[in-house]
Amino acid sequence: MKRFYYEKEMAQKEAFYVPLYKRASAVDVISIGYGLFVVTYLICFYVIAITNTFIKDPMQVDIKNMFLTPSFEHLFGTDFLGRDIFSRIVKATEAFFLPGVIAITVSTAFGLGFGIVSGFYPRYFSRGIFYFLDIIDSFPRVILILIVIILFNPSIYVIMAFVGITSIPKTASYIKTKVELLKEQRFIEACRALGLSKRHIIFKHVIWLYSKSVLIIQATLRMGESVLIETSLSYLGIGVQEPVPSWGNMVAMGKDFFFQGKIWLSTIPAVMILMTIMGLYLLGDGLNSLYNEKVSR
Amino acid sequence: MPMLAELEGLKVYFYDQGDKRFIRACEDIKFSIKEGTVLGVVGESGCGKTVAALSMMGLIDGEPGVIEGRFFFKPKQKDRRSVMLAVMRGSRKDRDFRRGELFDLFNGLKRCVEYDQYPYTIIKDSERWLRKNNRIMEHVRGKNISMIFQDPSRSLNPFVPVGIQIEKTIKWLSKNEKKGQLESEVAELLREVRIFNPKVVMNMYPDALSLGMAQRVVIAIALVSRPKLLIADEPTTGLDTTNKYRIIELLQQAMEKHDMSLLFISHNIGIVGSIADDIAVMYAGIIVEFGSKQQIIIAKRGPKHPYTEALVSSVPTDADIKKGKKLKVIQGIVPNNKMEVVGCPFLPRCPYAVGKIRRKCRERCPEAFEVTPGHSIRCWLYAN
Amino acid sequence: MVRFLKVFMREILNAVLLIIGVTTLLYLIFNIMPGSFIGKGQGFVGYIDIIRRLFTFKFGISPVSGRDIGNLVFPAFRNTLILTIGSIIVSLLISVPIGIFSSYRRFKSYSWTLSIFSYIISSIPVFFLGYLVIYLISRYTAVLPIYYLYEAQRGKPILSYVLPIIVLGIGNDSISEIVRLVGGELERVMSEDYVVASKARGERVLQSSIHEGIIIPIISIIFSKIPFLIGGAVIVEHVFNWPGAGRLAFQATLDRDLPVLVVIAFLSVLFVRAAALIKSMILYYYQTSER
Repeated sequence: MKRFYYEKEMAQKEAFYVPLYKRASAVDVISIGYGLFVVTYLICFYVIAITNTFIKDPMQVDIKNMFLTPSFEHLFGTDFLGRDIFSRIVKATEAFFLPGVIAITVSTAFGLGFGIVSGFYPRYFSRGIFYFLDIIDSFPRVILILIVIILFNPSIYVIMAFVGITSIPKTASYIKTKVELLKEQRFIEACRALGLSKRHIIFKHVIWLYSKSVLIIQATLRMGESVLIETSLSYLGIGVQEPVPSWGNMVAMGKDFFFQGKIWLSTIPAVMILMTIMGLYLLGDGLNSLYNEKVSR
Repeated sequence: MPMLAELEGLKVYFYDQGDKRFIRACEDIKFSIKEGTVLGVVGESGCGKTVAALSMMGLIDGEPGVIEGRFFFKPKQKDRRSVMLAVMRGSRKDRDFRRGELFDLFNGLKRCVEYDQYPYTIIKDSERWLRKNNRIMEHVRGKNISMIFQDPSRSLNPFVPVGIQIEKTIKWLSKNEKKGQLESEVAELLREVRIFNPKVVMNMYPDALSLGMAQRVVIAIALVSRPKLLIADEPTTGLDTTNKYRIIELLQQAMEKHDMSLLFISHNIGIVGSIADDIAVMYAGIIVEFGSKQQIIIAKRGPKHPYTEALVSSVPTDADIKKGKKLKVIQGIVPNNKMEVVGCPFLPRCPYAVGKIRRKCRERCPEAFEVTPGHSIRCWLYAN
Repeated sequence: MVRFLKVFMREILNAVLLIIGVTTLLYLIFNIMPGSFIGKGQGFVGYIDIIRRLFTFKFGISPVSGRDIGNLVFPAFRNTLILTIGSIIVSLLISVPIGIFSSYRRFKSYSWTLSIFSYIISSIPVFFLGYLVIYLISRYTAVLPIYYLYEAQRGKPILSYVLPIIVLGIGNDSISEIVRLVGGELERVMSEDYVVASKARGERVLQSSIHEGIIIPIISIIFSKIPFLIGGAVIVEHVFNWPGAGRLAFQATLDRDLPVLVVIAFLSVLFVRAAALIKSMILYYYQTSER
C-alpha cells in the first residue's frame, strides 16, 4: 500500500467503477477457471476428432488386447473389442459438440426474437407467442423427443434441433422480462429522444449491451443440458448407435462388464460426463454471480 | 458511579476486494459508560460511529479485514453466569477476561483469528471468531444490550403488523405467557412510549406509521427486555424538531424508570448536548476528544480539540440569529477513509496547525493526552 | 374469496385452452404419421372423435400390441407419480439443508465444500448412478430389492420403491440449482435491515427468514421441475426395470407404437398443467395472505 499525505490524497479521484475481473471472489474464479478448462479440452478433443489426428484409431478392433487396464500404452485401457477407450472418448465429442451448438443456436435465436418482439409489443404478439411457447413447455421434453423419433427417425442433429426448440420458452421469457424492465428505463427513452432508430436501440442497447451476459450464461447451461440429453439418448440406444462412439453408449456397453469387476469400461466415460457437465454448470453459475453484483453489507 | 461498559482499542478495517485496499472504519476507539448515565458520540457521517456500535453488538458479519480490541461489559445478575461461561470457553488460560464485575465480550479474539503481519493484517479465519462471538452474544443481545437503528421504518418487518412483532419479542424473551396477557402487555408497552391508541396501532403495518410513531414502536420493542444498555444510533434523524425532543424525553424517562444506560449516537452536537453526561467526539474513525458535557460543551474556555471547537461554534446562538450572522462552517471535507493516515487526520482542516507544530502533526498521529482528570484530547497542542 | 375464485377460473380457462392446443398438435402428428389410426384423414370430424376419446379416457386398443391402452397406461402412471413425488422430496431433503447452512457467514468454508458436493452429485449421469447403486447394493448387501417386485412374486413392492426414488432424487440436476437459490435468497433476506434489527434484539432470525424468503421460490422451482422429472424418470425406470410411464413410452418408441406414446404425452401434459395450476394457486394464496 502506498503512503499518501493528505494534501496529495485530496487530489486523488475516487473510483466508483470496479472492473469485472476485479469483482470476482475466489469461489467465482475457481468455478470459472474450471469451466474454462472444460471448454478448452472439449474444443481440443473436437479438433482432434474432426481432423482425424488420432494416435490410436478409435474404430480399430484388436481382439488380442481386450479389457486391458489403464496403462501408458492405452491411457484409459481398452474395451471389449480391444478398442482404445481414450481415442473413443476423444472421438465421442463429435456426437454432441456440433449438435449442442445447433441446439444453442436454435434456442438463442428464436428465444431472442420471440422475447424481444413480445417484450416490445406486449399487446399484439405477446399473448399469441406465449400461447404456443406454453404448449411446447407443457410437454415433458423426453416424451416430445420420443414422438419426434417415432415420426421422423432422425439423426442426432435433428434431435438436438428439437431440444433447442424445447428450450425456447425459457430463453424467451428471460429476454422478455429483461426487455420489459429496460423499456421503463430512462436511457432508452433518452435514446428515443435523441432520434435513434428502433433497430439501433434494439440491436445495440437491448441485445448487445444488456442481454449479452444473460445469453452467454444461458448458452453454457444449454450446452450442459445438451451433453446430458445426448448421452442419455445414446445410453438408451436411440441416439448415436454403435460402433460410432458416444459417452452414453460407451457407458451402456461397459455396464455389462460391471459385474465382472471391469469397472473402468463404463466408469471412465461416466466420469467424463460428470466432469464436463459440472464444468459447464459451474461456468454458467460463476458468470451469473459475476455479472449480477451481489449486495453485501 | 460504577462502570457498565468499557471499550478499549477497537479497530475495525474492511477490505475492499475491488480496490485492494483497506477501508478504515474505526481506529483505536476507547470510551467508557458509567451505570445510569448517557454517553453521547458525535461526529460527521462516515466517521465510524455506527460501525463501532455494530461491532459492540457483534453484528458485523461481513468479512472484516481487521478487527481488534476489548469490550468489557457488566451483564445482569441473572445472565452473569452464562456470560462468564461463554466468555471463558476455549480460553481458560487467559486471566484477564474479567475486570471486577465486567467481562471481556471480545475475549479470545486473538486466539480465534490468524493475523498476517502487523500493522496491516487480514483475518484469515474469521469464521471461528464469528462463531465464538455469536455464542457469547446470545446471552447479551436483547437481554443486556438493545439497539435502535438509524431508520426506524426499515428496522421493522414490513410484512407483519406492529403488534405481532412486539408480541414475538416478548414471547422470545419469556417463554410462558398467556395469549390475553400478551396483548395487554403490548398495549401497556405502547402506552409507555406515548402511543395513546395502542389497540389501533397494534394492527397497523409499519408503512402506515409516521416516522415518529415508528421510532416509538422501535423504542418500545427495544425496551421489552429491560436492557442495561441501550444503543441509540441516530434515533432523531429525519424527525421534525418537536418530535426530536419528545423522543429524547422519552428515552430519558425510560432510563430513569428501568435504571438503564444509554449510548447516544448523533451527528448533531446540539442534541447530544441536551441529553448526554459524557461526550466522545469522533473524527475519521478516531475519538479526538472524550470528556464530560461540562468540559466539552458548556465550558467556554479551557482546552479543547480544534474539531470540537469548530463543531460547537458552528451551532448558532440566539444572539447570532438576532444579528443575522452567517453560519460558521468547518472548511474542507472528511478525509477519504480508503487511504492510510500518516499524521493527524484533522490536519488539512486545522486552523492551529501552523508553524513549528505542523511538522509534528504531519509525522505522527497524536495519542490521547489527559488534560484534566477524565478529559482526554488527541491533539499535539496539548502534549504536556 | 370471490377474487380467489376469479383467479382460479382464469387459470382453469388458461389450462383448458392449452390442452386443446396440445390435442390439436397431437392430431396433426397423427395425420403426418404413416399407417392407420382412428380419426385419421377425416378432417374436423376425426378431430372431434379424438378429443372425445382422449377426454373420456377411452383410448381404445393399441394397433401394435393389441392390448387396451387404458389398462396399460393408468397403472404405469400411478407408479411414475409415486417416483416423481418421492424424488422431489428426496431432492429437497438433500438440498434445502445445504442451502440454509451455506447462507451462514460463520460456516463459509464448510459450505463451500458442501456446495461443490451438491454440484458433483447433481451432475452424475442418472444411468451410471443407477448401475453403481445396483452394483454396490447387490454385491455388498442384500438389504433392498434392486428391481420392481410384483405382489404376486414375493414380498412387498414398497421396498422396491426405495432405490429408484433415491437415485432419481439425487440424479435429477435440480439439487445444485435449489442449493444456490436457497442460499442466495436466504442471504439476501438475512441482510435486510429489519432482520439485522431483530437479530440485535437477540431473536433467532432463521425461521422467519425461511418463511419470508424461500418458500415462494422453492414452490415455483419445484413445480417447474416436474416436466424434467418425468423425462428423468424414463432413464431411471429403464435402469431399474420399473413398470412406469417412462419405460412404457420408451418401449412404445422401440415398437413404433404411436397411439400409446400419444396417450402418454396427453396424460403427462394433463399432469404438468395440473401442477402449474396448483402452483399458481398456492403462490396467489401466499401473496394475498402475506399482505
